[in-house]
Amino acid sequence: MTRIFVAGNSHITALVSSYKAAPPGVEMEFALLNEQQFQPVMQGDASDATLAERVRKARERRGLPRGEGGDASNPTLAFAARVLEAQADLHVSMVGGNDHSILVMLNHSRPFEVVLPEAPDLHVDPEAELLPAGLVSIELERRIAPHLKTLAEYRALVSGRLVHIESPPPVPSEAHIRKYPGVFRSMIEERGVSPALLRYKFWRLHSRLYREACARLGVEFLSVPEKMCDGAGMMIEAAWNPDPTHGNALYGGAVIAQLLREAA
Amino acid sequence: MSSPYKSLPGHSFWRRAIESVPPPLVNPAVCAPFSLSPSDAVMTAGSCFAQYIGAMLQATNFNYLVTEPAHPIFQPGQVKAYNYGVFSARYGNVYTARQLRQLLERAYGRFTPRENIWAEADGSFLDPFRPQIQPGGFLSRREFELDRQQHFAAVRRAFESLDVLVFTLGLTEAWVASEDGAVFTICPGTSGGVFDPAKHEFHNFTVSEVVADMCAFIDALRTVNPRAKLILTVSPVPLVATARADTHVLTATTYSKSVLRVAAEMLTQSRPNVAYFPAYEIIMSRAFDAGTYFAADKRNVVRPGVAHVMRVFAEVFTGITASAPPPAPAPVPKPAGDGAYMRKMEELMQVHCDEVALDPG
Repeated sequence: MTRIFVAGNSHITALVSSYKAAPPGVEMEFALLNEQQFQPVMQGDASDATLAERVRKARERRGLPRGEGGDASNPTLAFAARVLEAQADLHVSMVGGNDHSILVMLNHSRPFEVVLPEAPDLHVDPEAELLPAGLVSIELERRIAPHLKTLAEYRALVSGRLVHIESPPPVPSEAHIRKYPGVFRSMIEERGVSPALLRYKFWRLHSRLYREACARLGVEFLSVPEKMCDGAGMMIEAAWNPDPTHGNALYGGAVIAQLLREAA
Repeated sequence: MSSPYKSLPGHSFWRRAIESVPPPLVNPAVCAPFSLSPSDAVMTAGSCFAQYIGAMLQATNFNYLVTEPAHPIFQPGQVKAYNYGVFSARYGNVYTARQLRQLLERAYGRFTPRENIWAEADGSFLDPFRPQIQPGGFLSRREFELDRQQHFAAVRRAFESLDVLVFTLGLTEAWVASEDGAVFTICPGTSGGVFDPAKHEFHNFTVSEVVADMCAFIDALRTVNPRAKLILTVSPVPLVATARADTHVLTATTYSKSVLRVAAEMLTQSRPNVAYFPAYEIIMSRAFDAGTYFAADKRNVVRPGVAHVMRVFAEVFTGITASAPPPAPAPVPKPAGDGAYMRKMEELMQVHCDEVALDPG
């Protein structure tokens, strides 16, 4: 039996959806950090040597069975309890993953562009304002800082392997995003969806920051499964969730298969 | 008994203009050949001291011209390191008259230096003519090239839309490409690039060279913007170092400032609508009493000195006296797509992710 514990935000849903059809011999547990019990996420100090003891005592005091949450009044302990109780063969992070979309999902009234450092030959809209890629990274880093803090705290909680999964690549289809706009409906009507290539570049800059943070923190970085990417590096149509930014169960299944290979 | 001095005004006499005047009230700017209205677009360029002038112009509600502003997706605290808003466009410090002349020539495609890009060992690229314009340089050659095109367009817009250019003459010492005379901002090898004595040579500009370069610049500027007026200042900030091994840095500083001061005077005589503003004299006037407008490093100018300069500047060019700031210009439309849009996107993205996470359907 391979036990995998996954903590993260909304991109975790693709895995949850797929897990229903996961192969035998795999046991997965998910901690969805969007839940109220974990909010605000890991603002405590997981490196505190007394934390595990505090969690244990808190659980004993409340008589909670293993794996059903910690102290609901303390989000840090609630998360720490889930992690420490999991006894997983592999710990997995899917924290954050959509902050680039805040900046770039829709057209900006002052259209901008960026040259991707590792792929500088990608098309650049000559009519758009060129932004320094380094400055874009600084702004993205500011936005993902709370997630990186959570990742660091998660790292401090587990002594074994911790893998962070790259967030899914952008959905290239404007038609799909317009068809499933969700809460963005009026904003999309007002501004329009930004070019897929621009969203792709920002996603790559975003991923690069996570990759660098993982290297600093001693966390393994797991890239998007290759077969989930089209020739341009964007999400294949079969993997699109009916919303603007997430992968579906097929996508989640590909990630789980990748995790199983990692855990083997 | 009469003499020509009998009819001179008070500012002509040291005792009345300096000795008996409280140091913070010294005002050597007697008159200006033109005035500034609150709506006049003011561009700044020059050495480090010009940064102070630019900042003070912005803080005191002059119509400070910025043609290469930071994009509103960035935070105000992030953009200064990338030199947005430090000057009217992102050209960085322009220390010499020749640099200013070449900036215009390069922006209009009339001069393309052979040594036009520095490829650094870490894979980044630097602009030899603004090597410190952004931390870490440009992350690809293409980014560098596209950014420079964009920058030159912003420089052209600045030159063509300014009403007044405040240019601070900073240095006479410079490092020049032997091949084509391109003037580097700083010596190659100090903040990027590789110094090569076969390709890079030291040059210390003379009065006649500074005047010739400035005249060429002014003439070129007025071909694209006939209404352009100039206010020249000389930076009081001493040289951080001289390249002349046989000369003390203080002596080299005196030479440099003297040349620039003389050149500025000559320029006011040789071209119309060119004014000299005595920022240098205001800062140095504190040398005559126990106070100083220099910081502990004896180079940089402290805030009260800059404030004194700008108070006099406002008085002589706008007629506004005392410490009241000049009137606000017509409001400049803020670029759309500001913080309210980002806040809305943050909220919607949070809802979007929560909905997908908590109710995947």
